[in-house]
Parts: sequence; C-alpha cells; structure tokens
Amino acid sequence: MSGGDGDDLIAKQKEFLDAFFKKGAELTEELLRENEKLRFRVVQLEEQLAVSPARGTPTPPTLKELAERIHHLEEEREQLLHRFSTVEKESQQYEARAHEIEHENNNLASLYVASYQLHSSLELREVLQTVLEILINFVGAKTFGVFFADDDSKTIKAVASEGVELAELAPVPFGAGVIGAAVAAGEARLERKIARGVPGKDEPAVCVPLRLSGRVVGAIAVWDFLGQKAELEHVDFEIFNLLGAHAANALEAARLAGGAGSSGFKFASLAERL
Amino acid sequence: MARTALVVEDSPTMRQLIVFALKRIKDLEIVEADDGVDALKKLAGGQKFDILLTDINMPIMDGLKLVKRVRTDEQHKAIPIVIISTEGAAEDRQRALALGANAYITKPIQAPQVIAKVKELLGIKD
Repeated sequence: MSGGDGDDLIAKQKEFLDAFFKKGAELTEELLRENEKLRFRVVQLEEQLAVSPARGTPTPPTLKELAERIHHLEEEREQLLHRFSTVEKESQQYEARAHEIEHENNNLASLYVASYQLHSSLELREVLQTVLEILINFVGAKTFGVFFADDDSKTIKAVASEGVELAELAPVPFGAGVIGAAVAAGEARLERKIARGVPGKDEPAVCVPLRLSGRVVGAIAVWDFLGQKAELEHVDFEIFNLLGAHAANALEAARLAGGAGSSGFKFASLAERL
Repeated sequence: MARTALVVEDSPTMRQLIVFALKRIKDLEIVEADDGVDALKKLAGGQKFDILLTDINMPIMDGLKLVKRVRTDEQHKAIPIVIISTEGAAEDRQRALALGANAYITKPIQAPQVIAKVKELLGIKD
C-alpha cells in the first residue's frame, strides 16, 4: 500500500463521517422542531378542553345540574300535556256545542216555516191543508185526523184526514177515549216511542188538543207515522205544540175572514165552510 | 261560482222548508216550481240549472215522470237529481234511482242531510 492510497482512504473516511454527523444533526433538528410543534398543539388542545373560568366561558355542566335540567324539562312536558288535554277537551266541547246549535237552528227553521205557513193564508181550506202538510212533511205523520168539538151533538168530529177516509173517522163522544180526554181536559198524548195503530181499532198514538183563546176546541190525532220515522224527536213535540197553540187560531181567523159571524167558534160554522 | 237549484214541490210548506235548508249553501240560487210541468217549463226557459230536487207525489206531473223527461232531454240529461219523498220503501227508492235519480231522501227531511247531498252532487267542499 502506498502513502498516497492511505491519505485517500483517510479523506474518504472523514468525508463519510462528516456526512454522517451532518445527517444526524439535521435529524436532531427536525426532531426538535417536530417536538416543538407537538407541544404547541398540546397546549392548544388543553386550552380548548379545559377553558379557564377566569376567561368567562361556561364550564361543562355537572351531573347534578343535568339532573335538575331534566327534572325541569319533565315538569314543562307535563304542563304542556295537561294544557294540550284541556285544549282538546275544550275543542270537543265547542264542537258538540256547534252541533247542538246547528240542530237547534234546523229545529227553529222548521218551526218558523210551519208557523209562517200556518198564518200565510186566510182561506179556510188552505189553512187546513197547511195543517195536514205540516203533519206529513215536518213530523212524518201518515194516518191522522183533525177533529173539532161540536157542542150541539156533544161529539168531536173529524174535519180533515190523511191516510184514512174522513168517513171512517167516527165522531167521538165528549170525554171518551184519548181524543175525548184531550178535548175535555186539554191533555196531550205525546210519547217519544211510536206506536203504530189503525183508526177505529186502536187509540191514536199521538193526540194534541187544539186551543183557541185558552179553550180547547178540537184535537189532532195521529195513528201511524211514515215507515222511516223511528221515533218522535224534540222538534216533533215542538211542532205538535205549535199546532196545538196556533192551528185553531189560524182556522178561526180564516173562518172570520170568510164572512162567518163573530159570535164565537162553532163547529157547524167551520164545517160548512170547508 | 254561483249555481242554481230547481226545487220542485207542490206543497208550499215543504218547498219553503227545502229552500230554507238550501239557502245555507253559499252561492246557490234557488228557483221554485209547483210540479213537473212547471219544472219542465223552467228548464226550457233557457236558464242553466246545476241541480234539481223534486218530490214524487205531485199533481199534473209527478216527480218520477219528471225524472224520465229530464233524462231523455239532450240539454238537461246530465243534471243531478235528488228525490225528496214520503215514500220510504226500498222499491220506491230503487225505482227512482233506476229512472236516473242520483239520490233519494225521505221525508220528514233533516236539513243537514239535504245540504250534504246537494253539496256532494255539486262537488262543493267545505
């Protein structure tokens, strides 16, 4: 080995060592920088997680606080449910009331039309026809008669009928049967349940006295109703009451307007004009 | 949109009750006729009717004959018809519907029932 070769080898070793240490120094510097970055990041995260009360920001709620909050929300929920239930009940009450008013409105309309029609004519036949139409169309009567008391014969005689021939309705002696009682004592027979009968065989299911100036002068007797009529309703009773109070008045007004004397209601005077 | 109903009923009392019920339908005009012949005259008069309500038992021309005549009339055959009758038997209802009536209501009438049926046939929604 020559001296030149040895120097060359030493130079190469030195060069290698220099490069090695330089790389090591660079690596160390890089590790230090990375370490510094991570430390900075840790500080940032610590600040985010544990915010200092001194800086005025809220601290995480404790378990007790959370339990109180839940309790408060449950109370609120109970109150809202109670309010909802009350409002729902009120709404149902309003709905029922609206339905009642609608029903009452319909009943009043029927009564208004019946009353209006009853007094819309001064022609005796027309008034009597209106009484029949009210009984058929408003109440659903099928077999019935309109009777007036004849003081001369002491009987109650039919002047109009529907569903049965007038001749088939025999005069009823004063005080006899349901019709006689209605005229004698002013007692109406009105029941919700419909009993279906036949004139001449059965007593009428409904009998309403007809009043004139406080005196009973006749009666409406109903033996049967239309098949679809299941029972009498409140408005039917009102219609019967209306006829009881107004039908005789309307007929008497028509009788007087027709030229009859004003000596008081007389069956003969009414019958001869029909 | 205004519509017009033709109410055919010989009894003024009943007619007024039907009219009273129908007046509660908004924008519905009502024309009245005494019987089938009177109704045909009014139908032929040039006025447009959107619905017809008729009784069955009427003098001169009854409701069933009226339905028949209307259904064979080119101009009015599509008009909805509601029968309002005292006859409650199933066969009466079937006969009226077979002749072309759209609905059958029995007397004594309930106003809400009449109103609901007319609204349904006219496509009126609350």
